[in-house]
Amino acid sequence: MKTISCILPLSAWLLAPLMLGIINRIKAFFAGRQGQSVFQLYYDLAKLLKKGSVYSRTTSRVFRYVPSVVLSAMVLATLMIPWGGLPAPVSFAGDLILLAYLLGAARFAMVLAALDTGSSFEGMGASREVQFAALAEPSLFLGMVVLAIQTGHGGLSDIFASLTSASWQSAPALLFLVACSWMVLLLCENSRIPIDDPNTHLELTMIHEVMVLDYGGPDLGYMLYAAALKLWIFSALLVNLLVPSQLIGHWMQIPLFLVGMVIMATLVGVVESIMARLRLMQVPNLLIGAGALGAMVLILKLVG
Amino acid sequence: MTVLSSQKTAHALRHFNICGSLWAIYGPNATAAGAIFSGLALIGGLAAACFTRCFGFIFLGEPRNEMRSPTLEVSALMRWPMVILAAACLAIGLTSPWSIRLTVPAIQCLISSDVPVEPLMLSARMLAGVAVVSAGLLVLAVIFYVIRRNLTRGKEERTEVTWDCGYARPTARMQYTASSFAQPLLDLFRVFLGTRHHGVSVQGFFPKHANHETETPDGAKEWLFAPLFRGIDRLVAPMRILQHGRIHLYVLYIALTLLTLLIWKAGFLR
Amino acid sequence: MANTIPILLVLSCIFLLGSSRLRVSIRMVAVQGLLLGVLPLLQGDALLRQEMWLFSLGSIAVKGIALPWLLLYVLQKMNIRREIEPLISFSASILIGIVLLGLSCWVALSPRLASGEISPVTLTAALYLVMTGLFLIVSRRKAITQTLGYLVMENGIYTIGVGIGNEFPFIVEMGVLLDVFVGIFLMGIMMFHIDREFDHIDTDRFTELSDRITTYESPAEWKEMKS
Repeated sequence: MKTISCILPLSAWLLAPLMLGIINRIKAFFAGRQGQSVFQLYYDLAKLLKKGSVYSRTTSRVFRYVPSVVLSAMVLATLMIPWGGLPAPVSFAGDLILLAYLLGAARFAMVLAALDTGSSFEGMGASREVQFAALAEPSLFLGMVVLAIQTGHGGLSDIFASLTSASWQSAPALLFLVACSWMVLLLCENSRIPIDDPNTHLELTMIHEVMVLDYGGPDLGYMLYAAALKLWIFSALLVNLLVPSQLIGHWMQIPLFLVGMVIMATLVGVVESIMARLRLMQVPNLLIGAGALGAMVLILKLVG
Repeated sequence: MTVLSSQKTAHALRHFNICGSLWAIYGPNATAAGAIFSGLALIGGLAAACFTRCFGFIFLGEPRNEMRSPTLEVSALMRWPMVILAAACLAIGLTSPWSIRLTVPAIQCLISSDVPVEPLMLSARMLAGVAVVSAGLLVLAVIFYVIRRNLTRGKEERTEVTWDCGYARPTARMQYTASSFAQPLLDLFRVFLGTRHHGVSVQGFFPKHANHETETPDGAKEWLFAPLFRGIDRLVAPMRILQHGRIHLYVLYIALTLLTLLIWKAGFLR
Repeated sequence: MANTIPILLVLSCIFLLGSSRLRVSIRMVAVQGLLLGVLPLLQGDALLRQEMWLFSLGSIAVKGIALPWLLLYVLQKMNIRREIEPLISFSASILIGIVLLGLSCWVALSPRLASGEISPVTLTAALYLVMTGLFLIVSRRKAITQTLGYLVMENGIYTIGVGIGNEFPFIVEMGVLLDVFVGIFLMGIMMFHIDREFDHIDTDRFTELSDRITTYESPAEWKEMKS
């Protein structure tokens, strides 16, 4: 069982940049363009790893350590994502809190680096990022608690292993609402439209991009790859929730999971193409709404 | 830096601990766990904001104004205790499945019966996972850093000015300070905080002068403790007449008290 | 599956609390009316009884179509600004809404109220509808949103009646429905007249209404006063 589970993080490490490529391709398709190659991020990473680095004079040692910390946090987080009946390589009761805090630790490191540069843009992006993250984190936890109550287990692997089609038949509306809340969370944590535009060139409008503005060379490569892994993690959580997996054998589940991830990337690309970015003052409303959705599902779950 | 890192480690591990043990004790069936978790989640996010703001206070990129006297790093004797304490925090965190047993005698003092073993074992197992992953985080971070150093060996490494989007004359006062950093988040809770804004706003097309200051009063101090203490002060103010500084009157007070006690006690002995 | 409609009702309430556009709010109340029309059909053996079908159709016609249409007509005629101006901000409204949901859940689960007929989820949804309606009346400025709040409250009371099911007399429900219809109709007419008289329907500016009677010496003085 454990050898098959190793395929999950391996596929994450190899295929995460592909998801960003798919999203960009979908956006180009909607815009009527040919678009970049689906493997563009791989080429970018290869190019970046060969370059030298440029640092700002204002920065200290913290700035140099942060990319390694961020990347290691993301890599460890991918070790904890299960698929259906297959447990993750690292799983124990309560590991969902650890997952959330690994992602939080990565964000903390990024914000420290952003403040270290002494640039107005990065400070502004960091403050926005921290605000949105503080508002979005309850959605993740509330959704997890609902799933834990529904399935009666405490660890991620156990929860998703017991989320069968029977669970979906008994409480379809509640699980679907959790999925909606998590979709908003995915868009927020990965800095997608409608919360942040990943393609903007204006520093005043950036949130996540501006925090990595002063990185170059291998550091930038680390940060881009970590962002791709983060997208993979959140998409994996959603795919695990939406697709009940008990019905087929283990060897079929991996391709099904990958198909699910491709569909997820397509969905994100479509959402990005058909929506405009929200005004900055309205983003907290959206995030509080997603959190309220999670709270509502939790309260209704406790009733019956 | 050591203070901050130790604080953050301790805080993060405390959080793991709390969440993990709550999970173990209540189990996934509890109703209270849900509310507690959402509260903890919000606290986690806000705590991250708080710590990064502290970092911003201390480690902001460039100094905003000239200091009167130059800052000196303190002597090694003052630094090493902090390093040792930070290392101890880290050590407790990483060995948490075992160090949690150290708290058993303390708990036993507080509750009369035996310490329940089952939740402790459960949380020990969880903390084992957490400790392993945290250790893995540190090890992996070091590995990735070493890889990066090897990648850039032999390549050029330059230092430049921070990207300022082509602005001709950036000054250090244009940085994002800690209060600006926290402003969006504090704005959400402004009903509870009562932040006061002062300043001259921007007027006209080519404004020459504008400034803006905010101050957030300490709510508990301003609206609870200060009025309370003022009220108590008003009540006991008349007693200040007794405090005049004349020593022979103070001795007179002592003599009168002794005399009263003597008469009183002697009266009873009759 | 039977819990889906109460869950959707709760969702529509949260949406109403956070929505800033009047037309969308009215449409959401129409959706609520539709859901409430379908709700009686899911109670037990109601599908077999003909009067339940008539009842459902009547409810959908009144709550889901007629009343929202009336409100949209008033909205269009009066040419008021299409945005809701709240006294409490939208984020705060949503958070208060969650607290109210917790409260209605707690009340629905309390053992004294538990009767055999009504399921706790339906009772929670009903109580939450009533509380949301009251909250909308209290925390919004325009008279039309207060009308919406009243409608939502009536929806809540209706849900309790439907949830209890066969014990609730059919004719009482029809009476309540007629009541609501006439009430909303009158409110619409009143709003039209208020708007014509005062040029706005912000209820918090109505503090100038008072009973003072002013007497004038002559018609000329009254004309001078008016200009």
